[in-house]
This record gives sequence, C-alpha cells and structure tokens, in this order.
Amino acid sequence: MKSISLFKHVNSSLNPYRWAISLIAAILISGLFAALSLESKLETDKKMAEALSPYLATLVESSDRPEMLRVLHSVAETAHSEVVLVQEGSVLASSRSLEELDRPFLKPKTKFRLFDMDFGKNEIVTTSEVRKSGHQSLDTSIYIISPLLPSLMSTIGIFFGVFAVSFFISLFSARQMRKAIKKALRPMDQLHAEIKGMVDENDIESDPIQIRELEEIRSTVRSTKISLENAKDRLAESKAKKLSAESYKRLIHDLHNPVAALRQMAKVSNDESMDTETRQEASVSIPRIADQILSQVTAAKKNLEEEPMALRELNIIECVQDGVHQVQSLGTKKSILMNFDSESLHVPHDPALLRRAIVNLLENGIEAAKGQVRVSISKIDSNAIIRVCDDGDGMDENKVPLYLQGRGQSGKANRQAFGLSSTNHIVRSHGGKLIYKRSDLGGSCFEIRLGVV
Amino acid sequence: MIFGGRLLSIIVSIGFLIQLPSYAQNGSPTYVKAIYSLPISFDPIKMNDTASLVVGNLIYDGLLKFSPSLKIEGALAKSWSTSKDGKVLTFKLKPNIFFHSGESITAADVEASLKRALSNKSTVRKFYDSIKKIRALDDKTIEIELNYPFPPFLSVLAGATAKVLPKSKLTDPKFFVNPIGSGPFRFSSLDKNKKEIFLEAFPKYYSGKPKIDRMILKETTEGEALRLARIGEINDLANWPLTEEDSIFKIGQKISSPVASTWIIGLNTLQTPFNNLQVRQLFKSNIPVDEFRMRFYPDSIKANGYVPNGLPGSQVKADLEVTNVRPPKSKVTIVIPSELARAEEMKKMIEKAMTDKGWNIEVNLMAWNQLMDGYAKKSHQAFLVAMNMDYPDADFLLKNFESDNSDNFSGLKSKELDNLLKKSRATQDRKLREEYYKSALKLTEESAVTVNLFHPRANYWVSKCVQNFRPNILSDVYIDYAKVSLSFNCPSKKVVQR
Repeated sequence: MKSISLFKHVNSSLNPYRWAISLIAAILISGLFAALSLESKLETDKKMAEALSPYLATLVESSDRPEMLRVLHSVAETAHSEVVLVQEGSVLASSRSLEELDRPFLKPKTKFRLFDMDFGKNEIVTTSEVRKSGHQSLDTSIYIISPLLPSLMSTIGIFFGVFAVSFFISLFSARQMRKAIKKALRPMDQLHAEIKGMVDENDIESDPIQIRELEEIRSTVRSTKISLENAKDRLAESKAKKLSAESYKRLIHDLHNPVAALRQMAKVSNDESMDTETRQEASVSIPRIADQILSQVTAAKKNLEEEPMALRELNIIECVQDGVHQVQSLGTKKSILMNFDSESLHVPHDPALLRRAIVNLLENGIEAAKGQVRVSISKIDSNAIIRVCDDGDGMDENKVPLYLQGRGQSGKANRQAFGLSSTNHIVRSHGGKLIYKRSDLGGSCFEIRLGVV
Repeated sequence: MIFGGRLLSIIVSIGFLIQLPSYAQNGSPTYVKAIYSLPISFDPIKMNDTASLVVGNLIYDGLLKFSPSLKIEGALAKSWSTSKDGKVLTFKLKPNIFFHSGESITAADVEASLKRALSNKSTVRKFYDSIKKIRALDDKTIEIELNYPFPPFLSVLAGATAKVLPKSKLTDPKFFVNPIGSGPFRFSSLDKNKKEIFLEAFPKYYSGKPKIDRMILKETTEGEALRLARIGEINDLANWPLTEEDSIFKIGQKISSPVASTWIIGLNTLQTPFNNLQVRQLFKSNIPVDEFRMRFYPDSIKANGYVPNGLPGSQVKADLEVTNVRPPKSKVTIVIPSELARAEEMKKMIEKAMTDKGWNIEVNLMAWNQLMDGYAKKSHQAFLVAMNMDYPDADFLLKNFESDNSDNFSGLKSKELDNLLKKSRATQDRKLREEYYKSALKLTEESAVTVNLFHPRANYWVSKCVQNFRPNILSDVYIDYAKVSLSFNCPSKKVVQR
C-alpha cells in the first residue's frame, strides 16, 4: 500500500465532510433566509392590513368608497398586490377593477395554508378583518392578493443568493481550516524530519517541538538512538576484545606447528647422528621457518592494529559493486561478470573491511583466470553468499588451509600479508566463513558466507 | 348633473352614413360614440346635464381630473399645495400645454375661466361659491383663496365644469360655435341637422396624442344605437347604462361598474300638492320603488337614500310614518323622459300602482329638452331624472336643496339644512363633516323631496375592437378617451368604406 503524508491523510479524510458540511450549511442558511423573507413579506402585508384596519373601519362606517378606493389603490401600488375590501360577502372597494364592486367576492381557491395565509394556484391571499378601534366587528375583511410567482421569485432569488454566498463562505472556511490543519501538523513534520535525519545520519540538533507529547517522542527517539549507538560501540569493543583473544588463540594455534617444525629442524640440525645432507637441509629450513613465524606474527599484529570494526546494516551489494569497480579501475583485460539475485541485501558489515576482502579475492581471481571472473551474490536461508569464481587452473585443495592460515607460498608480489589469510581474517571478524570450492568455470571459487540477521 | 335615459326615436340618420366617408376617408378607423342628446351647451359654465358634460370632457381640460378610481390627478396642473388653514390652494401649471388653437395655456387663462364659473351667467356657480379670490401669480402659477376650508374643492376642480378656456377668445360671442379647449379632442364641426359632432385627436395634448384619430358623437335613440351597434357601425354605447342581460352584449364587450348616480322622482315643493310635507311623504311611501327597480333595472342597487352607495351619507334613510293622510284629489303629473326605452311600461306601472293607492295620477312622457326646460323653470310637479355626481361628495347632491341655490329643483327652503351645509364646509374634520352630512340628509329624506328609486349599475357596451376602455365610478362623463384605442380590424371600417 502506498503510504501518504499525515496531512494528506487528514485532508482526504475530512474532504467529503468539507463538501457535505458546506452544502448542508448553505442549504440550511439559505432556506432559513428564504423562509424569513417570504414570511416577512407576507407578514408585512398582514401588518399593513391590520394597521389600516381602524382607518378602513371609519371609511366603511361612513361609506366613503372614493376614499376607500384611493387607499386601496395606494396600498396596492406599494405592496405590488391587489387589495379588495369585502363587506358581507360583497365587494365594497377594490384596487383591481370597478366591475367587481357591489358584486359577490370570489376568493381565489386555496391550495394550502401557511403562516396564516392562503396559497392559491397563482396568488397568495392575506386576510385581515376590519375592526373598529373597540374591536367591534363590521363584518368586513380586507384581502391582499399578491401574485404568487413574483413573491416566490424574490424568495427563490434570496434562497439562491444566500446559498451561493454561504456556500462560498463555507468553502472558504474549509480552505482556511485546511491551512490551519496543515499548520497544526507542522510539529509532526518536524518530528518526522528529525527522525528521518537520525536514520539518514543527518542528525542536526533542531529547535524543540512545541507540542509536548511530540517533543517527548523526539527526546525519546534521540536518547534511544544515542543509547543504541553507545550499546553498539560497547558491543564492537567487546567483540573486538573477543576477536583479539581469538586472534591470539589462533596465532598461538597457528604458530604451534611452525614452532614445532622449527624446534624439529633445530634438533635435526644439531643431531650429529643425522646425515649431513639432512642436517644441512634442516639448517636451511630454520631461517625460512623463522621468517614464516615472524611473518605470521607480523600479520596477526597488523590485523589487531586495524581500527575496531564498525558493523552497520547496509546493502552488501553496494559494497561488492564498489570492490568490483575498484578492481576494474586498475585495468584488466579479463572480464568480471556480476550476477546478483536482488538489488539490495542488507547485512551487518564493515563496508571498508569487507570491500578489502572482496578486492583481494578478485585480484587473486583475475591473476588466476584465463579470461573470466564471476562475482555473484545470493541469499540462502539466513546467509548472504558472496562467490568469486574464476576459470583458471584452480588451487591444490590440500594447500588451501595453509594459505588461509597464512602459511602457504603465494606467487603474488607485494602482497604484504593481504592474501587469503587476511581475507579469511576479515570474514571471520564479521562472524562469517570463507570456503574454497572448485568453480563450475573450472578454476577456484571462494565463497564468503555472512549471517543476515 | 341630470341624466336623461333612453331615447325612443328610431330614425336612421342616412346623412350620418353619407357624412362619414368624407370625414374618415383618410385611413385609420373612426371611433363612433352614440349619445342620447347633443349638448345643450358647449359652455362649461352652462353644462348642467350629462349630454353636455360628455362632450365638454372630450374638448376641454381642467387643472385636475379624476382617475377611474376617483384619485385626483393633475391634468393641466403639474403640482398643487394647500395652506395650513386649508383656505389657499396654489397650482403650478405643466410646461408646454396648449389650446387647440396652438396658444400656450397660462395662469391668466385659468383665472379667467374660473372667474366665469363664478359669474352670474354661470349655471354651475353653486359648485364654486366657496371661492373668495382667484389670481394668477405668474404665467404658470395660480392661487385660489376660499371663503372657508372646503375639503371637496379639489374634487370640484377635477369635475367636468372646471374647464380652462383661452382668455383671449372668450370675448368672441361665437366662441362656443367652434369651441377651443385643450382636451384630448378638438372640435371639428357640428351638424345640427344630422345631429353629429366631429372631433379630431389633438396632437399636442399634454399626455400625448390620443390613440383615436377621429371621433364622431352621434345623437340617436337607444333603439337605433343598439341596431347600429349590432351591424358594426357604432363603437360605444356608454351613454346608456344598459341592463346586464341585454342581448347586445353577445356581440361586444360588457364593461360593468357602479356609478355615483341616483334615479329619483323629484318632487317640487313649489307646486301643489307637494307644497304639503305630509302629501310628499305619502307619495314617497306609496311609490312602488322595489317593484320598479326589479322590473326595469334588476341589476341596479337598492337605494337606501338619496346619496349613491359607497359615499358618505348613503346609509341615511327616512323612517316615514305617514298616518291619517289621504292622497289629494287633485291630479298629480309625473314627467318621465320619453327617450327611455320602456317609458310606456313605466308610465302604466306607476299610474296603476298609484291609482290603486288612491292617487289621481298621470305620467307624461316628455322629450328630454322639454323636461329639462321645465326642470329649470321648476314647472313640473314631479319628474323622473337621474342625478349624477360631478364630484364624489355628498355636498354635491345636498347643494340641490340649499335655499339660495337657483338650481334647487325642489324649491325646498330649510334654514337648518342651510346651516348644516355651511358648517360642513367650514370644517376640516372628516368625521364631523360626515355627521353634518348625515343630519342634512336626514332632513332631506324627511322633507320627502325625492323618491329614491335606485342606484344604477352601468353596463357599458363597446365593440370588440375597442381597447383600454376603463369605466369611471362617477359616470361615463369621466371616461378617459385619450387612452381608448381601436384595433385595426375594427368593424367601423364598414362605415368608413360606405
């Protein structure tokens, strides 16, 4: 699954609600405004009718139809409606037409009632009884008949106007909220950057994070990292001590035979019972064996003087590739084939030391090869296997342990004790094994086996 | 104002049909309006009848006018104001207003016209007697000072007699032969023989040229008018308030409206036996009012009193208890306009009903002009007329009974009534004025000088090609013909093509 940033996650999680809330809020607000507008308009008609009631009552009482007509016309013009005054079911005055005067009033059919008003097919009828100031009934009513469509048009206009404004305000608020969320998540970004920096070794001390919990996490991660590094150092130190002890033990073990041989040669050389040739041969061997012992001791000393290993879980393929490139840069007519099962294989190792071991094996391979050296990396169970094989004549398998112990005669010049024994030492110092096999190419094949976990 | 009803004459004016082509030969349809009578006068201050007022309102304009719903609007006046005490009214005239002659209308013309209305030769002086002084402040400003704050005065100025005439032409004795006004139509000609008046749209009318280019006012009887309307040669029968069920409405538009009018039988107290109050009261209570209304004008409105429905005082009625009075033996004559379509029926019905109740009664059918003549001379004992209102205030009708009013058809003299009317004019308190009106009307009803028959409901007929015809609640006099138009496929083209 593709991972996304926390902000994107929060944003995408809130996005549907952002639209839905904006839409619902806009509909509710605009609906409220539209209803208020309609109610206000119709209420205005009713209030106007009620306000006129005492005056109309006077006019009705005095039968002053001309004045009634003037008033109704004036009201009708102001309210953009038709106004009819009805007494005992008959039209007393009307702003509509003189024809209906003194005729029975035909009230428009009511479809439904709302806000105490009658809604017809094409009109809204507001009715108010005309009463004298003492609330005495005159059996007279005033009807304000407003055209439905214009009344609703203004309401619909208000609805859409308010809807558009509130919707955009809601969206704008949501946008601002998005920015606020982004800003609020900055400490998380800071924490993320810091942790990433710790992993990438770009560990730069930054300002404290303002959010207390995040700052605690940061401190915890940082202190954990430091503790881990310390532990690693201690582990390396302890391992180095152990390796040193093992090296001494191995040196002692390795020197056991040469020293025994030296002792034997010295005894043979001084043994007068031996023939001269044998004694002479033994005498000749003594300095050679002494040199070998000295060489082994020197090599062991040099290995112990190396920097303590820094094991890091890194891509071993990169290390091998670096070694190949290093050898290729020296110029060789023989081809080096690389065959890696995957692009990355993380194994705890010291890249400088391991590269040195690889380079050593490659140089040996190139020297022995007729035309081709093959480097391959694979993972078998919990081991990383690095093989350096060549198509040369191969080695005497009986002598290989001697070479690995640094006792064999290498044909290489200027090896300075960095031959197979050195390689073997590096591999062993990584807790691994160096194994010799016959190569399927016909020559030698050295296999470095390192534990992945 | 007094309205006479249907005309009986069915003489077809061939001349009318011949005249039209020469008048209307240049294209657009001519609007033909039938009228029951040619105007008795073209002089606004002598217009005391509906026939004259209908024509006057087409030719002349005043400072103010009534909207169809009786709202007072500026006509020649752009604006006006009233002083705090209600006694001084100041009017500003509109710019660019002209008489038909092309002269600009000034405040001096207004001053001269209103002063004429106040003169002794004015038969409508009674409407203007609240005026104390009139003066033109400048070319466009006129100030009218009143003797008392008379709230209905703006209605008076919006009425059909408060018209503005050109001052410079008023000295011409023949001015009213070819009258000049500023109304929507200008006078073109009058054919007295053929009883037709020809009008043309006035292009410089203050609210724009009327939509009708030409109009013919054709005097005819109701029957003939209906016949011509049926064959598409008349566009407008608004001069007759037809009954709702009339078959003519099957072929035209029916525009219905109440009108501020009361049909009455007026009783003359100057003539015996109506100089006796109890006789008048008995007569009033014996006339079969409901039967008459239901038989002849079933869609009209029952009259409670003298004042039409919907006006202050309309609910005032007399509770007459006439006991121990018998009808007089002397003959009582009621005159009714012979032009009324069912005048004979009316005569028979009234005579029978009253004879049955012991009255020696005769109903005479009389031509409208004769009836009006007797009305003016107060020679009739009783007469059937319709009282139309020039302005929507009970004061208009109550004036008819003021002692010093020369137009007091009843000859009634009541100091109490006179005082009540004076008080009503002097107050700006609407409620108080209403109370005075009620008291005055109560007095009038108890004086039994009118038998209130009904308040008509006008059912105007106009042809289907007439557009924007809007009735006026006062009467057909105030219909705004400047807005009326004809559609192009108007049947009156038949008239044009003859």
